[in-house]
Amino acid sequence: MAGEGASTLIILTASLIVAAIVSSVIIATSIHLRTSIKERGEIEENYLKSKIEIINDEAYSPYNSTTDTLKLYVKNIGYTVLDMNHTVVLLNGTTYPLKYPVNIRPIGDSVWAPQVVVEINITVSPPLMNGYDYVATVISDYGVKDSIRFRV
Amino acid sequence: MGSVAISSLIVFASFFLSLTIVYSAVMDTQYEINRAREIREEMVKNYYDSSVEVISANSTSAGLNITLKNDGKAVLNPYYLTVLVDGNCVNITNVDIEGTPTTVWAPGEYLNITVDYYGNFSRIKIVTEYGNFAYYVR
Repeated sequence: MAGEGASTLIILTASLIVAAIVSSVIIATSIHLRTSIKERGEIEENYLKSKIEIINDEAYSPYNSTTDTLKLYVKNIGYTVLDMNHTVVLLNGTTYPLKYPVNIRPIGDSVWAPQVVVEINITVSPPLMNGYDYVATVISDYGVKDSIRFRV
Repeated sequence: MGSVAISSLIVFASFFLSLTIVYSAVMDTQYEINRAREIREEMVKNYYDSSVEVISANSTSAGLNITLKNDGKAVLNPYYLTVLVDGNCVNITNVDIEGTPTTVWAPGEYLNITVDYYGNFSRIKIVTEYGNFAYYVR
């Protein structure tokens, strides 16, 4: 009888340990899943609320032929604050690094908030030429992007 | 039998708890995404409801005076305008409607702005807060 009681106790303890392990795995997985769902939702939410526009004059884009520097004006017309350091510029499909510092308008603002325009300068190679059409694309936070066809 | 029942109860409870956790996350996220969709739709609506026209532009000793008309159906904020003269972004130094500075530029109203630009020019581009634009070519 004493042996049967001990066996029952061992089985009970073992089953409780197994149940506890299974429960902790289920709960931990659901917490991970909740975190992922919220992160994914935040990405989608920020993408929907963000919008940029390259506002250069297509017929008169500022280009310094001495330094081969092209200036792009990009306006934040969305509802989120964007990070200039996460911005990528492509010219005719080729990526170019931003020249720092990036100027912000109105002057005095320090972040790329809604309604703020940033002046992005890139050094292009080969140099841009009159009479040719170019396509510039700016991609920023959350995957928002805009393209412009222009001449210099 | 008792041990199996207790273990099953623990596993079932944890399963129920995990369902609650995931369900609340899905509902919260869906709510936030729906709100973001509404904001996006408002952005698109504002874009299509907005239109501006450059009526005139004259160089003066105080800068370049530009008269604009709100041709759309949306109320605009003149302080959110961006002005490019000959391709370069310039600062707006004064904004008024019939001599009164305001942040409300209603449909049909004429807005006077002065920008920090002196001398001759050939093209002006005006960009609104919603991304609409208008050109003035001399």
